[in-house]
Amino acid sequence: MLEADLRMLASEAEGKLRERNYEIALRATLRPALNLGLLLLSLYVLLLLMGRAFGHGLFDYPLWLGLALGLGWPALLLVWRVSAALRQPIGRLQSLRALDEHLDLGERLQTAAEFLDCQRPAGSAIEVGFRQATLEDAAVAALAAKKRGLSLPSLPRSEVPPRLVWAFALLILLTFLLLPRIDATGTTIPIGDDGQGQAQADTEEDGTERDPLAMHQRPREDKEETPQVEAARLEPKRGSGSKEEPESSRQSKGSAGMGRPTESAGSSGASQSTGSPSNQAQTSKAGKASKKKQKKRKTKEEKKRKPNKARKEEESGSTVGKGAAGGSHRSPSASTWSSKDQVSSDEEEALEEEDEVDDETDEQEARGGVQPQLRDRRPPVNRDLSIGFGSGKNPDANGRGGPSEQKKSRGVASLVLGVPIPDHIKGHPNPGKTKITQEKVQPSAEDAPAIPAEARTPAKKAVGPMADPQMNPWMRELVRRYFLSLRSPVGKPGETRVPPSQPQIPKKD
Amino acid sequence: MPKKQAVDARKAAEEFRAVHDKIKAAVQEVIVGQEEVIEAVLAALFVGGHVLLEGVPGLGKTILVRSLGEAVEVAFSRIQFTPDMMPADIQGTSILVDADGGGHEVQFQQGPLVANLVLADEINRATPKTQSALLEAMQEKQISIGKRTIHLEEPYCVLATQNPVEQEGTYPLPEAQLDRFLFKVVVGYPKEEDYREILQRTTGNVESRASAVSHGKEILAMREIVRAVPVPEHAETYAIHLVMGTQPGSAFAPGIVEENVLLGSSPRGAQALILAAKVRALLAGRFAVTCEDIQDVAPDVLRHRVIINFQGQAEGFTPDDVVRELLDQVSVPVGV
Repeated sequence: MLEADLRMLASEAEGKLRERNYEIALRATLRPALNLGLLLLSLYVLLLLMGRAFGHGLFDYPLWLGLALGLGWPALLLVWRVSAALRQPIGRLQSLRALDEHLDLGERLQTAAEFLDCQRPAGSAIEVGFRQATLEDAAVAALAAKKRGLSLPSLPRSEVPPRLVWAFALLILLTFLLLPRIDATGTTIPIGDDGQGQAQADTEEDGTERDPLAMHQRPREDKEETPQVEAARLEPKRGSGSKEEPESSRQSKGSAGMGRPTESAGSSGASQSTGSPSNQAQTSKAGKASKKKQKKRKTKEEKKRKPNKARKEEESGSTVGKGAAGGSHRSPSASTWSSKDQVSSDEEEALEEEDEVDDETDEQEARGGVQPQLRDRRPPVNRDLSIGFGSGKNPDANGRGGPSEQKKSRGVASLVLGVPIPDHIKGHPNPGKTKITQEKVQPSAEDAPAIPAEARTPAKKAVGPMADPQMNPWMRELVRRYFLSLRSPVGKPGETRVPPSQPQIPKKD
Repeated sequence: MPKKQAVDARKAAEEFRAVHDKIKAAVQEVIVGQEEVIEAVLAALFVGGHVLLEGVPGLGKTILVRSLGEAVEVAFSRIQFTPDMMPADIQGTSILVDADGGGHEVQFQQGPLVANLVLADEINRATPKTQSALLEAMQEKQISIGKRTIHLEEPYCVLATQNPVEQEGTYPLPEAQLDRFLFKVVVGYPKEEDYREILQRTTGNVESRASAVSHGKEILAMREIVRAVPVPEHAETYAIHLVMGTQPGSAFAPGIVEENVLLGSSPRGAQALILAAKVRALLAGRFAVTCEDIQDVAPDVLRHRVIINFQGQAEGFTPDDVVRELLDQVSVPVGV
């Protein structure tokens, strides 16, 4: 009975759970899908507004494909997540657990189902009783659940956030904005490209971003330029294969000395070059290079400004060609068109290096002769009076304030000559391992007879072999004669007595 | 119609709740508040576990245990641990006594460890050597001294206290001994409303004492009831996952465990989870353990079994943080 009830409850709960999973997946996926579509479409619109038409370079596909991707990917994501949620298996115990949680049954239904399926034999009688009591409780709970009806708690009806509404509205707007841009052939028309729009945009951007000095010069030059020159000037901009450096980068080089920020020049160049991506890349490279140079020049300027004002004035007066930036070969007032044959950035850097050497020579001459190079000068003598701290030894600090031998004392003590005496003898006596062997020896009595005392007598036996000192013949003779004289009676004729204290030592050869 | 066994089981469960309630009431005649601590100590008594009570001085840890000893009529002994205490001081030793017929003889004298309810006061003040003398008594319920083995009488329960702040001159409990405690209960300060009652009970002429309401045999009968509570498979799996989740390198260990835990719980942790959850289920009027019961007892059971590594200590993680994160991360297993 209980088992049938549980099965019925589980199957009904399974359906409800599946619906709930579907709803959860839908809610969870809708927002990222919308955001993704919005992001893609916004990207396309942004590119169109920047003048990047589809069909070139990275975006080499028609707009209809872009739209399809922008709307298709989110739709695919939505379908995939929802179908995955629907396909998710829901077991009987899972369904009963959901019911337990919903009806606050304390896992009674799930536990009862497990006990019914369980093949493990119950231990004691009281354990069996507890199992039966659990099943009885579950049966009551199942009946109550059937009466209450299986209404799993619906997900909270969260209000759709306004941000989502706006995102959805924007998505529709963008779609409508982009759809008219698709012509019958499937190609796209960039936004703002209606005949003279491009040229107009060029002139407008030129007018807004060019520096004031160039603005002053430009009309005069424009007047001088013929329509053919104008056409020739516009030609490389629209063409994609132009290898020449963009005008903006050159302009930034020439006008850097006038304090015009390079970034603005770079951006103006970018806005002018509405042509191919390759042109754009060149522009960015040149922009970076000019940025680096600008930095270098700034540091050089600062260095040069420091010594004195007079020198600065002299330089600015004498070397007009160098320009205020100190690195350019062109006059700041020179036209950008007059330097079309300017060398590339690498060559210019090399030239700048040469210029640096020349500048240094000029500086030395201005000081009244050849001066030693700054980099060759030695640092001043260390006047550190400390003698180091702790174990950390300061090699320059010797307590005397100048280069000298190592000294370890200061004041009067340093004037006293002394021989350093070590405090203690280094090293260990008896270096090496010490091994102590202990032996267990039983004490045993030993015979130790006392030796009777007696008077000392002359030796009865030969003493034994004695050391034979290597004596010289004269010494041996001397000893022999000495002993003979002792044995001979005093005053015996024929014998001479040689006093032992006065041996006759032969002279050495 | 309900079966007889089920009826008996229901009666047994009711009896258990009654015994629990009367002992609790007796203890509460002396102890004001600290309900969770009393519940934990009683749960340990009913499943045959030991409790480590940690709290600052003056919170009534010792009085609680003493009151429990009074409420349950069992042999109660108290050991005040000191640094110079030796294992023989608590286990027992042979001493020379006067013989009846004159002369002397060696006689074995049992230590205070031989009792039913042992209060090991300030256990971390004893040296590890003396602390280790408790290991055998706590796990095997016996004491081996030389060739003599003393089997301790059931119910046997060690209730130890320690002070977490005064660490100088103390010896932290070794992991092997910590693992033998069923619970580590942190005793907190009483609530505001409890202070008034505490002052009234303790500053008057009448000394409040707990009356004896139970005895050892009844406690043993309650243990039988508790151990008979069935555990469904999903709750068992959940307890296993929780314990494995404390072990760095296991499949269930969350990030906080991998990074900040040196040593996780042993299988004793899982045993303790299930046993304590059984008591919780009976007290809640259920006849089987649920995952909620396991979650309720997990902090007290796992707190002292999780050892934080150096990095975790440096970052200020505590075992409680780890257990809390573990309960959040380890999901309840869903059957099919």
